Amino acid sequence: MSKPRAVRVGGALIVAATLTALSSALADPASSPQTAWRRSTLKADASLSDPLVKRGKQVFDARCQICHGAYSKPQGVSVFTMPQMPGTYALELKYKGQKPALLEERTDLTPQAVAVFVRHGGGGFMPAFRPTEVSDEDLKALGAYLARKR
Amino acid sequence: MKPPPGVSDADFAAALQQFSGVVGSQWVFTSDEDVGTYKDAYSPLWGEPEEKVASAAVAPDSVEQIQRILGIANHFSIPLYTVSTGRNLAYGGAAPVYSGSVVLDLKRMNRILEVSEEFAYALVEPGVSYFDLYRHIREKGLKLWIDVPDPGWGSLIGNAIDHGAGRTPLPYRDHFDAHCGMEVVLANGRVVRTGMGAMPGSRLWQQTKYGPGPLVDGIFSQSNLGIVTKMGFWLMPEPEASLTGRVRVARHDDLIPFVRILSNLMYTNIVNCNFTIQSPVFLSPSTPEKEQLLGKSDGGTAQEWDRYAAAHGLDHFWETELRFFGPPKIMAAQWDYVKERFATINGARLEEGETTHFPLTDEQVSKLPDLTTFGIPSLSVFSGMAVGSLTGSDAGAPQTTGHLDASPIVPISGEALLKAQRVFDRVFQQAGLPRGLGFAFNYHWRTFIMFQGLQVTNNKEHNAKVRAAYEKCAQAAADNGWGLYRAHAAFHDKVMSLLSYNDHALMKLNETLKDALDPKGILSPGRYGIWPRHLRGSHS
Repeated sequence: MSKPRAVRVGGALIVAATLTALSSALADPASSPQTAWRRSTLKADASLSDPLVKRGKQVFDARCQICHGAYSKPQGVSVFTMPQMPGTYALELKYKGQKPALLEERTDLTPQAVAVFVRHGGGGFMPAFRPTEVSDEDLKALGAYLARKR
Repeated sequence: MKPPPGVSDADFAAALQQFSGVVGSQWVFTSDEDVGTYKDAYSPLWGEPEEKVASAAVAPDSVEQIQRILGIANHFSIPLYTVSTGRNLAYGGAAPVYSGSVVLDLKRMNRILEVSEEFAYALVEPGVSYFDLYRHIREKGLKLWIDVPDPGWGSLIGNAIDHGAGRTPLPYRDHFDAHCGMEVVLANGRVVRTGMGAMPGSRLWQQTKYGPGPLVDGIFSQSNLGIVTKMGFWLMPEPEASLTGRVRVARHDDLIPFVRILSNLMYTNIVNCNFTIQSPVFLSPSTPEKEQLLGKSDGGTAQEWDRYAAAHGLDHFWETELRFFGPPKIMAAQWDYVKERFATINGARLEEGETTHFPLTDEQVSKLPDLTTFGIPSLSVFSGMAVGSLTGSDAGAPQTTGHLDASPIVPISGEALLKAQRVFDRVFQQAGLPRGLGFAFNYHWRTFIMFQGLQVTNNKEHNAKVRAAYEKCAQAAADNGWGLYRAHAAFHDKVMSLLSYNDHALMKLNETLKDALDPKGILSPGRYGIWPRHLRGSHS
């Protein structure tokens, strides 16, 4: 029941991930289907033919999408009504259109930068993620996915 | 890698090696980078020598592994600090209360053991998050809801034993109250099941909290007397629909009958939702006149505030939104009755909102402005921090690195709410922090939580003010006969010291239990002010 100082912002709504199954081939408990936060459909993308990149997409969907996914603009106002993707929202405020707020649309990320953010936090309200949440192998795959050439 | 206080390098190395033998070396974390992930990301002690840090972490995936780890920890006197999913942001995160402890990270124990649609319960392990259970229920198409705290990435067990709550009807939204049956590993490795779980082959473990004999579940919440490895939770069958209604009253002192009627409706179970009382007047932007009123010794009289509201075009002083869940015809009757009761307040305005029918499609879920109301996990609450963190850094001001919540609870009365607003606002004003007029939330049965969110930054002077304000807030709550329902780990000693009736008799009982159940004091030393004998006095 954590609650930040109430910052009243316009209401918002989310694009909830489609609840379809991840590949059951994942063996690593840190990204097993049972501990994924949310799943989304794996969309067709030529870059995903690389198994590491494909796995990275699965890690993103399982671990990152709920904060760094797309969301739709506000509807309604209440103390509880806020943009549903705080990671994306924060980057919108930060970049003001100069860079994509959606991590999956960025072309300037490196695996090293991704690793720093995941293990040390985002410098604002994004906390670090422990190896029991995102294993070293998953982190490598995530970096490969977000830094992939397109 | 620094060993825990009082543990030799050789013993620590031997213990870690033996931990590796139990869980595998990949699940023992000793590098600075890995161990650093266990820091409290929102620590009010950020960058200070007193910041809470672990010496290492170990992550078992079974009760049997926990038992073996406990044997090793007892042998080498290694303090272990248990976390489930390790979030609990604003209340201490995964960082140990006693610096140098080895974090016992239960995230890998993430099995949803049973979900019964017929009997409406779930049995889960500590690493199961709200997102996990929600998705499981959704995928199975079960007609059940869960109740979620504002951020949904936390553990059902961790949140419940820290007395967290959500926003669907009672008893489900009070997460500890909604639990039924625990499995606990004691410090000596013995596994205990509470309630009817103590009977082999019981079919009632998640059906009734009562077995013959004492109810012991409570001693494992907000404590360090055992490691909870399974917990049952009652779940709400999916309601047919939900209806909202908004209530507004015009004048400052209307709050008194407003809350009295509302509390009576709650006690009689006509209103069973989590409601928030807020004042558009107090939340309106600051003006010189407003500051002048708030600065008066009485915080401004009712008449002065009513004049202020009228002069600024604010047509109502207080408001709340009620939400009903159930069959439409029953909700309509509830709302009719609520309207009848509030009509006794001159000028009260009641406005019916939308009706939502369940189940929701994914498309409908995607359009909801507020997911947690419907038991759907979300992280949207962090968006409020996004504004503070980034506008602050752009302006060259201290960058927001987190927040902590002082969470005082007050009786559900208009008088108490008004007084609490004045008391806490004054604490923050005197500390040089933004005003704390805030909101009154009804999460738990029969109390208001007056959340006082405090911004933590990368500026040590600011954080020192925040820590002082937190302690003053806790003290002010105690001075007024109120209290805190939960405390950030950095303030457990302070908050528990306020429970001083009869020469701190309650803490002495806690310590007696600690000495009996954990004689070597290896389990989460200092959590909620309960220190093992050998550390007592130096910390408490």
